[in-house]
Amino acid sequence: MPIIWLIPLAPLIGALIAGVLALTRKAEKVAPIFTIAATLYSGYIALFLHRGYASATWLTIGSSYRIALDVNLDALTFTMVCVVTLVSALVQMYSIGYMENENGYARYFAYVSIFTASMLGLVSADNLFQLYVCWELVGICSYLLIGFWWFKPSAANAAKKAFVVTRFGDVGFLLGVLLLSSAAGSFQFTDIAHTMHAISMGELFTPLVSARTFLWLAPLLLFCGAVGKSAQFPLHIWLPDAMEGPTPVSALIHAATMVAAGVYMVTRLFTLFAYVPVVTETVLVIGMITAFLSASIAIVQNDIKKVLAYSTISQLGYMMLGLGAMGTVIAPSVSGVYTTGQTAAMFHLTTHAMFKALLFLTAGSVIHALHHSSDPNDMRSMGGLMKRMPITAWTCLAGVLALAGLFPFSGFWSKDAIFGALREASSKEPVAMFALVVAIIVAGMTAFYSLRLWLMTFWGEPRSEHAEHAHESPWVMTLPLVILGFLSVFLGGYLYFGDRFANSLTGLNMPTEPLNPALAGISTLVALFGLGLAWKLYAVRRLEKDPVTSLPSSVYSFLVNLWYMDAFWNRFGAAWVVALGGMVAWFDRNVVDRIVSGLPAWVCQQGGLAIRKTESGQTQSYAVTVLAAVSFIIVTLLWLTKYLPGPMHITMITH
Amino acid sequence: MNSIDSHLPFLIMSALTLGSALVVVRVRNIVHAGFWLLPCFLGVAGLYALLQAHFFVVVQVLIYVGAILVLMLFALMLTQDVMNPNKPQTNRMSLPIGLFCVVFAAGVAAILTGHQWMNSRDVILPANVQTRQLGQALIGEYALPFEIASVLLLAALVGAIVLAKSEKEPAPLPLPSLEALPDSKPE
Amino acid sequence: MNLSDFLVVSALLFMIGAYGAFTRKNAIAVILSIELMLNAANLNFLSFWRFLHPSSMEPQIFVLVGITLAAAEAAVGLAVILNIYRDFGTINVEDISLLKG
Repeated sequence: MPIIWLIPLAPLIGALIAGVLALTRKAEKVAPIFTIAATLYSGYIALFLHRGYASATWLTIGSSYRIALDVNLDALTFTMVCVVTLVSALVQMYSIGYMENENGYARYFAYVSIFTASMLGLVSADNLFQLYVCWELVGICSYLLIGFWWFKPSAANAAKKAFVVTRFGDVGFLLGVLLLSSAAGSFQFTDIAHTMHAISMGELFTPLVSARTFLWLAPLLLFCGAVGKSAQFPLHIWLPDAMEGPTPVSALIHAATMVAAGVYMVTRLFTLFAYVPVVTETVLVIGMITAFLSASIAIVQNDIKKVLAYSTISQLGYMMLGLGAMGTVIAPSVSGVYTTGQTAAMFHLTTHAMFKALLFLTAGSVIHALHHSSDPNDMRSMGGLMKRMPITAWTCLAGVLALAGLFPFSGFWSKDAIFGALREASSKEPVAMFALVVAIIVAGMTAFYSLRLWLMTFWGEPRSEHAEHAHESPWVMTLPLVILGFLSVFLGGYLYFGDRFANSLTGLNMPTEPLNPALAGISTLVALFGLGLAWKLYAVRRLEKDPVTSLPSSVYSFLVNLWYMDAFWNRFGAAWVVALGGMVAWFDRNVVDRIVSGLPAWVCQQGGLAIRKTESGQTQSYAVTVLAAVSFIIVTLLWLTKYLPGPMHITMITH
Repeated sequence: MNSIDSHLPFLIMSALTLGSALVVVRVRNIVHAGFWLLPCFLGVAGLYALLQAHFFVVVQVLIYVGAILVLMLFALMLTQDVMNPNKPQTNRMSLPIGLFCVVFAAGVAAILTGHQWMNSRDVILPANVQTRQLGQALIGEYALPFEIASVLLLAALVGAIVLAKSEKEPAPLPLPSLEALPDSKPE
Repeated sequence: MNLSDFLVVSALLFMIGAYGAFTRKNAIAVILSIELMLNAANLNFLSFWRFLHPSSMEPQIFVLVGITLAAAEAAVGLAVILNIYRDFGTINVEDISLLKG
């Protein structure tokens, strides 16, 4: 077996070991050693091999329909494997401290390790089937980890909500997978890409729908999956609730990796999206709405994790913006189209994974320090933590500035790459110009709420007794913060200078698009404006009352009520499901039950009364029944082989 | 080999086996039934001897006659007083089942005798070689069935002991309560 | 004497055993009859071995395992019967019908 298989399998083995350890009480504490080692080993194999390919047939349907399991370690997968294993290993290390006194310690690490394995399986897939299977597997892990504290009703509900809401998108994704694979007769990405090309050339008939419809319907169905998984408008509502899970899980799954799976999927299959402009425009518009909507909500949130959750949604919207902006096509081919927008989106995915994981982990560190408080997530009862938790505060500041997109932090480079792609696209897509303006406004909002978060948490005087007595976290928690902080500061520039990013994504030797100085200047000014506003409102004078509450009340309540999106879904999404359920329940009770309790019940009763008599309790009569049955079988066999009437003769194979 | 003489040992052994088996299943006194099992088992051992399965002749005598039969007789001695030998010892179904058994045995016998068996021409090995081969097979190729059989026997042994000693354990004596003890305050 | 003779004896012994097992009231007598049936089976194996496969080992192994089974069955069966005797005061299988529907 080629060693490349161990990239997804090693964490799975780690999960199995942790799962076995979870059954014991005493050996639980060693579980993270195995899962972290397995995760690092996966990453090491990827670094060591750099490129590779392995494929095994899982199932063969009919003569040609082959379902494969692949590990396709190409440039894009390599990047994703590095991000996933790095963040996963750091988060698991952090969790050693964070989850120390929790019940289900080894279970937690088993779940995280299964998640890592599924995510690695997802990014290394070379066919839609495996992609879909792993897509659902990471969803399950997300469900399990959001509901890790299942005894809390809010956590159980959040887990259900995350699962059900993403299901809306996944139905579309499944339909897209089925539509594409039935047209291609294969699940492999290259086959599907060639099929799509043939359809666009009019060389191939499409199942169910016309070729014109197929060209926009299939990619948009796939995009539905990305909308659900990457929490895009209008299915973003599950992600803030998912913060009920342990904070390291939020960092790993709901900030750095799983929610980026939608972005990854669109990138991987971008060649399918590139045929019809309306598809990329849809991606662009959805990304734009998501980025703006959730950034505006993040401004008024008081729960530190909710701010970060909305920020994540907003940044995922940025990535979608990048994908939707066709930009300059770097390398057109049937099986792979690379645009500047795409590389920018993946660039932002990578840097965002670092600084958002960092921000969640620092938030977790703060929550850990305040965990005796009644609501440890509430920023209003924090403040002044900088002196008490200096490492957390400074690393968090690095994350905040990276998120704000300040030069020269990581976020600056990737965000400006997206702006550049949008600017290029605006010559072809008019909506991209508008999106660019919105994106720059969102950059200002992002800078504002991220510094607001930091100032409310760490600056000023403690606003509660618990904040006054907070202590810095142990080194297993601060070391990942320092590593991620380092990456948040330098990774973006490192990838930008030396043209590393576009090359490592496409595998081609192409120079990175240089930054547009005017655009970079504008975005820096906007970011500085947002930061300055936050500084003026939150840092200069003592914080009595949250300044954002003095927004016009209609605007404020609109934002606090999350743009009424949850209400919308409750009214129009959940209500008719509940009504339908009521109708079905009525039918079940009054029609099905009546029929079932009528005739069949009577038959069963009478039959039971009749058969009851054979149960005499006499062992010997049972044995006689057996004898009679056996002799019946023997006689039947003899009769069937036509030996009974004629001369008694049995042919047996004897020698 | 066609004369009645050469068949005589076989006929005697068969008659001994079947005749005493019939007595076993029909006789009213259950202890007599147990004792009639002895000639039946010995007849089977004789048939084994005619088949030149020398090892199994010894095994049959040792295990069936020596062990199982004695066990049966013990059990009979322990319980015999409950079954009155003057009452019928068979249930209501005995006549139809007997008829059925006769018909079925006749049918099977007819089929068996009507078939042309292709007898092997291999030579039967002498007793010492045969037994050595069997022993070697048991610790070689067939070690696993052999071990499984021994584990089964062990399980049966333990199970039989556990079942047979189901006499309720006497309840542990209640500990004297603290109040009943004479005052002894810890210092 | 040839194979069919032995097989017929074995079949008759088996049917006699079956008759006893199905008709005797005494539980121990039932076990005795089952021993007859097991003997018939062993006789069958050895007859086939002698006439059809004298050079193969399997039939003998089967018989050995069969005898082991018979011993185990006798031991456990008798222990069960002794237990029943203690609980019910009888070993008449017709009186022991707790499973009656």
